[in-house]
Amino acid sequence: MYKALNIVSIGLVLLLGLFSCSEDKKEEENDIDFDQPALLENLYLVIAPNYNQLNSSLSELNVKVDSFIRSPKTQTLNEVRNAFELSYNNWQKVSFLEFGPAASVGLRTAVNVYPTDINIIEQNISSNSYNLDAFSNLAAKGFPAIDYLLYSKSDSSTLSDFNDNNRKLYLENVCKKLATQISQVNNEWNTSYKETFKSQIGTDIGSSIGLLINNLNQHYERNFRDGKIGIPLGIRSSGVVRLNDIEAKNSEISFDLIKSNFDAMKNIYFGKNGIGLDDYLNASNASDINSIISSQITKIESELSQFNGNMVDAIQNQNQELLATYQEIQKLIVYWKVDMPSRLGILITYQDNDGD
Amino acid sequence: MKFSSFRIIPILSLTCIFLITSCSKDDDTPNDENSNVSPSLTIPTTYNFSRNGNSTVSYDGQTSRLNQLEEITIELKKADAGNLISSAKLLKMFSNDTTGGSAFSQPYTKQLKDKTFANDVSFFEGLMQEIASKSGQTDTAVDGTAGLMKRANGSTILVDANGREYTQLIEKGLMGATFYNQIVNTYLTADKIGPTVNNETLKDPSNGKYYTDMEHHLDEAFGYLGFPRDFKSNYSGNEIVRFWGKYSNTADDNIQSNSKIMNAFKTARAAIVAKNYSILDQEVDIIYEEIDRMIAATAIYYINKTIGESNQGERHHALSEAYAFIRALSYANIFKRKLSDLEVKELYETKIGNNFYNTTVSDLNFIKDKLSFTYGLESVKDQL
Repeated sequence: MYKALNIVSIGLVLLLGLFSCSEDKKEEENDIDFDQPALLENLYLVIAPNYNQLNSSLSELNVKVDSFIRSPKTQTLNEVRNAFELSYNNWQKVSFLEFGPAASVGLRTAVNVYPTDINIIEQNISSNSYNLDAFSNLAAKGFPAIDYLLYSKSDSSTLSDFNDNNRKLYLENVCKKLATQISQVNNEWNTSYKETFKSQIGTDIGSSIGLLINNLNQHYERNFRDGKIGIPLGIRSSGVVRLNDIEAKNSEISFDLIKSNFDAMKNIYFGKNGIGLDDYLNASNASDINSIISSQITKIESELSQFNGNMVDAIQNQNQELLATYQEIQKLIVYWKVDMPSRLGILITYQDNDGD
Repeated sequence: MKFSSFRIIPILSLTCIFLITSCSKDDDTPNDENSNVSPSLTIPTTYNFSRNGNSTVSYDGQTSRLNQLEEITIELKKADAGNLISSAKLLKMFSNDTTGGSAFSQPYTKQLKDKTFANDVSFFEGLMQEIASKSGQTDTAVDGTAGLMKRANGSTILVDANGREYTQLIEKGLMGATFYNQIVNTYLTADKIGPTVNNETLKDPSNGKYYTDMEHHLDEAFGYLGFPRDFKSNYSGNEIVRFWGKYSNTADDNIQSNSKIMNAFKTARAAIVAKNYSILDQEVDIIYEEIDRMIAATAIYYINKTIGESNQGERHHALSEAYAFIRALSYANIFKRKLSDLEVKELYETKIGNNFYNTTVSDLNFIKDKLSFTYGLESVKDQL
């Protein structure tokens, strides 16, 4: 363990060496007077309640699912939908924390693969024989599957569909599985990982700040920018929109989710009301970077405020505005992925899939 | 606890590592590439050795086989792209059957098949026949039916009815069954570098063979790795990094496999020149251990990729790589291996299982824990 950490540090020294040769950042040599354990303590206080909240909302979802499948009617359907929407919003507050407990179970892939695979879902329902843990079912469970089951048809059709016991069971199993997986991760954040997170100080690959900044960036790039906006908007398909790839396509709460997600990432950056990455940058003689990032965050929030709920409408009716928003979201990547890590001495280690 | 400077920590630890290394590891093992174990041992900075101005390093046969596997892989990838390929051609390439002309872009004198782990030759030939028979189609794969899967960048892979990517099973499979197998079961064994092997007379100086048999055999082991001669950690040289070299390079950030394997090879080779066989044995043990650790680290790397992957094509691709790399560990040398053949089989046949659609994250975490515990990778398993 000691050795591994030290070896990592050597790499860091070598890299810093390279940086200082290629760039004129003499202030890198200066001492940083910063209380990193206090930062981690505060970030823990920002993160842990979000997992708790998600966990509670999923318990509530399962209660509502129970009432719904006992008695499928407009009122129980609305209740289960409300509980789902709350849970899906709560998921957005932790979805970018795919390290530690979440990474070891592949949480994001287990709960939010979209577009969901309708064929597999319907096949599972009719056969009533499936293992939701198997890789073949990753696109047939989680929030997107519930979004399909509860919203893809008119209220009356949905209610009559849910007279089928297999469909009831499927909804129940998917919601239970979701709750179990979140509960496991939540539990680790509350127990064993609590001290791990706070104690992994420093800026090495395995340090908490290293993990956080890597995962924040990876999520921001792939899942926030591309997954939530860029791909449906057609950025990756020469402008041909891909409406099937919209998150929360049926419940039409895409922009609520986008805003929750961005807000949660913002809270990590600013540490909510306590010490955040902004303070870390300021203490690292990088207050210039912090002001650029802060104003870009404000800019993105104001861009996002133009949109409400439905992504299909936005793509069709506010296409130029959405493209402009995408551009503003894009700008933050340079500041978050290049400037912030280099000023804090953190390596961005994630990479795109190897092409071989 | 308050830190005045994070910059200082790495510098302190730089000093520490030499202390730690020198007391925790075998003390007489040279870790620095310029260090000398004994006055008689001269360890070069790169894998270059010479005698009276003539290079004594030669592994053309290995380079030829690496080239052949590269050409086979190019052929396999045509099927991934949806094109038809011929099983006769693949089998001809595998055995380098030159009847009616070479199947390769250039004539080679060596072949892969006769150096492949004998019990598995039919497994690989079977895969080659199967990929050819399923090639040329553009249907989407589903559980139970072979077909194409889309990767994140839009390119495709051809997978069998169980969601296993043929190309990975064959290419990475042969890296294990041929290259790794030859290193650990042939060239590093007593038959090739033991006391009965000639290390006194030069092979054939009049024909440019200025090396002893023992020297040559170690070079042949080295040649199968695809490492550049100047390979090291954080490699930035210009030489081409191939096959195991590529995977060592990926694992290197976390386990420094490039330098560890290179240093052991250079020291072992220098020990042969100096006829210091106790050091040779010691370094060869390090080679065995570090290559196996690098393979295990590569398998964990792909397991981590698989666990976090939401794109089906990427997931099955990464899992096929993991499967093949774990399977490679079944070729480990019987005297040096850390997991028995049955234990390795349990990991790829039972845990991953032969149907990738049924694999679960907990199966993969079981494998990850088992490999990291066995190969001393626990501190880095999540960041590989």
